[in-house]
Amino acid sequence: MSAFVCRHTWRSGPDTGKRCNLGPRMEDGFCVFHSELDEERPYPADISALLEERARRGLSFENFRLPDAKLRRINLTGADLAGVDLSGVDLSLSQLMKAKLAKADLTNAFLFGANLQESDLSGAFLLGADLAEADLFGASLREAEAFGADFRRANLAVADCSGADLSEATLSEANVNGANFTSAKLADALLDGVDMSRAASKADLTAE
Amino acid sequence: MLDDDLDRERRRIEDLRHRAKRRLEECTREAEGLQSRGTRTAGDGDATGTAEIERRVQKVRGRARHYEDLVSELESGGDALAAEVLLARLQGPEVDLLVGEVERNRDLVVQRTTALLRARDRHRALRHRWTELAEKIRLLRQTRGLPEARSAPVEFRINVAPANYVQQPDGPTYREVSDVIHHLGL
Repeated sequence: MSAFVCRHTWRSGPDTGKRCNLGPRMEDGFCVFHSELDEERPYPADISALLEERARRGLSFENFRLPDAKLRRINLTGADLAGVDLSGVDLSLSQLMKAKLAKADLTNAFLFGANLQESDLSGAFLLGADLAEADLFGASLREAEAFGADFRRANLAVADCSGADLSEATLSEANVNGANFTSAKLADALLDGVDMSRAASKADLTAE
Repeated sequence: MLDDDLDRERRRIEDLRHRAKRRLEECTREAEGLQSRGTRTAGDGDATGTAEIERRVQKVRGRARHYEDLVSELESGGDALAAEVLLARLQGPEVDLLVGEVERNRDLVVQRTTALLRARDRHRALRHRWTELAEKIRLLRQTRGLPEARSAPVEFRINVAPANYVQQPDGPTYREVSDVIHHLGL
């Protein structure tokens, strides 16, 4: 029996032009990481180790879909996860320092206590995500869609939140020292215990 | 030293457990608050408002389940969890940084060695040129009956002595420097 080859062809990274050989196979002929099916995915038991190894070797995560994956305490430092579907993923206590998460879908993701220092979350979808106690020191949240996200007690010091939609978000007791909120939307956001005077620039606190 | 690291990790896990538990309590309170609001809204006959509140209650409860799971993991993990987390930390970014550092340092060693050998060759070339000049001067004086030289000959040997070598805190010892100069034939 021949080995399963996923229908996805890498368009970036060291395997450019080659077919993906990850498994297990899904009904649509893609692997569990590239399948476009909207159903529960049978992720391999060692998914965290597998993803950590890919990150360490600088391999691509292009078009990865990891909805609802349990990746607690995973170490993806510096990994390029731009545009990856991480909706509903459990990334609590994970190491995502300097990770590239631009345009990633982190809708309803669980990121409690995650280390996201200097990560790139520009344009990321953080709707309803839980980032309580997360360390976002120096992270870029530029133009991020974080409507209703929970940033309570998070460290947003020197983070770039310019143009981010933080409407109805919870920022209670968050550290915003030196953070940039230029053109950020904070309508109906919870800001109790937040010293906005310490932010580098002010935000738009009015609803549209 | 390893015990200290493990102890630190245990304390960190304990701190995280407290924080997660606090969040769990917040979620529970929030769900209860929303629930009682929902009851009032239902009493007022506001079906849309009730449905919206119910959706939010479900969401908060879903979040609470995450925290329950996390607290339970942090509570039951004990030493094994501390060891696992420490292992992940030891194998984590610092290892990658070290690998990068080794690469950079390897290049640095090659660069500095090249510079050192170039300096040695320059030193040899200077000595050779000096010898040529000194020989010409000597010959000229000797053949033309000119007065003897008054300047002292140049010392080309590189003398490093414990008295004139100041070791930097992170620098090589006198012995190491002396050995390298000896190997370079200077």
